[in-house]
Amino acid sequence: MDLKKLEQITKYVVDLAKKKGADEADSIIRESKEFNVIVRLGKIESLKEAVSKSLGLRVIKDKRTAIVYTSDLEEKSLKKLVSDGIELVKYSDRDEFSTLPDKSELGIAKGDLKNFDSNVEKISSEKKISMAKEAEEASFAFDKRITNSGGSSFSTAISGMALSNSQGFSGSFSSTGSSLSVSMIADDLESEVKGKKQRGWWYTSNPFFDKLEKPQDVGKKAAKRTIMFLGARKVKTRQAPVLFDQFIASNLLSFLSSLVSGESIYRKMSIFVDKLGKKVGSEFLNVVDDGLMSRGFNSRPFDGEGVVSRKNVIFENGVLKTYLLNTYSAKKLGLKTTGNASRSIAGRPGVGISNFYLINGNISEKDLIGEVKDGLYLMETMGAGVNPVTGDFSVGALGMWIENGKILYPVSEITIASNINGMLNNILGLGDNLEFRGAYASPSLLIDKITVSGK
Amino acid sequence: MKEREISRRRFLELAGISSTGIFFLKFPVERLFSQEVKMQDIRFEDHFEIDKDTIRKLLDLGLSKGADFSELYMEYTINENIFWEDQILKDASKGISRGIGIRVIKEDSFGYAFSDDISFESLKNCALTAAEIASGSAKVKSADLSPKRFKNLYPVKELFTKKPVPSKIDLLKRADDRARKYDPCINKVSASFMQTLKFITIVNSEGLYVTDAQPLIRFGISTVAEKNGKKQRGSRSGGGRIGMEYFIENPPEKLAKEASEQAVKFLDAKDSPAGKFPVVLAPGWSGILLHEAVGHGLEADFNRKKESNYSDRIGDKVASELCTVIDDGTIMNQRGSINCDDEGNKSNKTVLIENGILKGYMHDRISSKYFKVNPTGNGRRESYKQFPIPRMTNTYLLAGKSSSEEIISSVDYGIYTRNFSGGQVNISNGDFVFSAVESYLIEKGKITAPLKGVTLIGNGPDVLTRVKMVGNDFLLSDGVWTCGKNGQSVPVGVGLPTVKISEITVGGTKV
Repeated sequence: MDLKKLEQITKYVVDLAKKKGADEADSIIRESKEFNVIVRLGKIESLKEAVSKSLGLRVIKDKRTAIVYTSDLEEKSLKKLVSDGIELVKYSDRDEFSTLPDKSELGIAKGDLKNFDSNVEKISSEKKISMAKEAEEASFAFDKRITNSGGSSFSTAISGMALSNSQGFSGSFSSTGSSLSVSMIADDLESEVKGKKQRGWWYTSNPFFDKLEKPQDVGKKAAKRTIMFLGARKVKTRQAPVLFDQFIASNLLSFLSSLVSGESIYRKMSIFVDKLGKKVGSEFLNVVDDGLMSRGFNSRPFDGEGVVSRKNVIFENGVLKTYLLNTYSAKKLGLKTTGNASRSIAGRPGVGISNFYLINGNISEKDLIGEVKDGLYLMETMGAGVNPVTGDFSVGALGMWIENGKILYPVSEITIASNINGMLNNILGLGDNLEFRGAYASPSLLIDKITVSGK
Repeated sequence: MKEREISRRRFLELAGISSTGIFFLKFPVERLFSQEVKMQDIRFEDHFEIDKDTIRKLLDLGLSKGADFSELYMEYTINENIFWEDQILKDASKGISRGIGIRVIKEDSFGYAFSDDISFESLKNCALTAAEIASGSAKVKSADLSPKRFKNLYPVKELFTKKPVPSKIDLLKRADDRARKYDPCINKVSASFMQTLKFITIVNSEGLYVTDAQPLIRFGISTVAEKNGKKQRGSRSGGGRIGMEYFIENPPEKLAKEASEQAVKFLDAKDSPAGKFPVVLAPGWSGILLHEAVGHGLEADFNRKKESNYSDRIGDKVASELCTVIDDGTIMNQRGSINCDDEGNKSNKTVLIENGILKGYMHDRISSKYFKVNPTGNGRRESYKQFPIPRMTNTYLLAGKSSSEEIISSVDYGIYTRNFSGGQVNISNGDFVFSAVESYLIEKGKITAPLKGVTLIGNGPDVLTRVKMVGNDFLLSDGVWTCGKNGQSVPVGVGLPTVKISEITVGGTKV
């Protein structure tokens, strides 16, 4: 991947836009090289490989904004793109907040973020295929109640991004990722009561190939999590504490990040409007977004607008310290950007996280379970029943039932419901098991007073 | 089902385009929808700079390692969006995405490669990469390409590209005005108008050669109401494979009023009860229940791999005899409709469940070969970056005999659901959820208090046996749904008459 060349193309487009009459402009290119193999029952089901590239341009003229983009990077098309942008921009209304970041905020963080693994490109297809096969085999070998496979998939991606703007910023970086995921189906054929089939999965993912969990371990873990659910039943409707496992807790953080996004705030689509500097949760609520984390899944030297990356504290001891902001939402709210502009090719800069995580606790998950008299160990949720404006929360749930500190039996076809405001204040404890498996991460999280609806 | 009328002349005009045109961007798009352009003037080389010989060459390269079948999917898509917020047009955007995907099949395994660099060198690499699924030497050669025509299901009176941008902005402004006029407590309004025109050409080594032009529009509005320290949101959207004439029957004011009404009415929403209750589904949007509860489970890939709870169950009774479920890609101007699927097969009306008996699945090429049945026109993909898999089009439940009054008055205490934000299903056992954003309590046969958003959870096969009454008021939802599967999003439609389910778990907070 020739990053310098990508930068040059974005520079060319920005210069051309300026020449054609834009007051301000920025342009982004993304290039990616992807590989994916899906193996099922020991046989290759699909093999996919591709390189793709596309470019987006934002034109600001007279405080009016237009976005144009294309996957055709020939010079002729780029010229057409610029003239389309200049034509389109006159239809937007003047918006005093529409501008590039201040020059002083632009920059490229120094040092090696360790988000690129040069080995990824060198791994042979044979190796990737055999890893997918190995994981699936290990699942089947783990327990005879594993009766079918939903497939074992190995993927790698090498991506590059370049950005230039009319303030003179120009930068680029590349990153890598590898992942292996297995989905299995279990059926208890010998059970007297014919229960439901269950599906379970596990995955490993990392910017660095050699940091992936071993295929056998991924397969075994997938099998273990699948057979755990066999014989799942409903429980009686009640209020109970719920222990969110690491994976589901990180999903909860993902929802939390959308509530602290400056875009949600100025749109009044969040329970956190007017809550800056206020205590909104328990002492356990300590959340950080770190764009500079070494070996982070989403570490980057600058954000989607060229603002230099940093580490931001979002919640401290339950107090909301800052929103996640890009230039536009910051200006709308009378604040400063936090370097959280996200950028797609096809749209104006949005707000996004880098590495967003809840700071680790100090109780082992086992001890957390031990504290629960009668409650749910939550392992999967279904649906997206959350209202950002009111904080009302209701989703389908799958997990294990805990009684007197012991995991007793699997439960399914139930829902959990509460309100985010209440949940953040009802945190009873945090696990000591923070682990980065993606851009969101959290230790296990025990929350009291959630309505579990079943029979 | 109401089908929009189309004139004979209009039909002839448009049917031509959807069958014989190839890629053509040297012609202004709007001219394509008039009679000025003779179809024989339109060629591959006008846009993709590749001709039939090159295509045959690429198909043969795909077959060069001994595969059974190769296919090229060429796409050119124009997207235009305008976004309204804070009473101004925030931004306008326009984009083009084009590329070619090459699929090579050997038995039921396949290789896939795509490129947005459409030079011969790059496409040749794609064909050779995809060919790697086989190992050996060529067994078959590609056949002569023979163009195929289909009926055009999306006649358009006025294509969005023909309409000047300011008149589209006016639609957003009108929606904003109406929303704010509804009630002074509406203090945030945003609206968007998304327009897509997708041209596809599919050719394969069996000689298939199909082209389609697929318009799609979606208008959406979102509001926030604030009163006495309480806040609530409301939203509505609509559209389809149709032109600007959509707004004659569906003025933006109508959607705006409904979105505001929802936000204001639900300011005082009550906690929903938790537990098992009878549920009455309002006609239209509630079709999301079918999409999740049975639709996905009847996609043939899951059944070929025996991953679905409906595997090996054709001929079994899987629902109450009141249930007849159809997947229909042929409804005029609907969001989920397609003239042909993304493998070049004609779209169909497929009976999935008839009077409670499972009749068949939805197929793509690989599954229809496996089950030895005719293709059903359900092989769909998001774009050239993806390979086709079995997907729904418009999925609905046929009307029954009861009136909606009869159904609602039969419930002593239960829930009435009207609008949804989405759903999800676990394929292997049929457990599914759908999230109601607009639901009401039913007390003594009457709809009463609005309830806070709730998730309903059930098991597909189980819930369908609990369908106790089906209304005579069938309604297809307006074009809003997007279905996600294996990371691919495609537009779909859902529909349903009023339906009573005797018992389902409601995820409220009130114990």
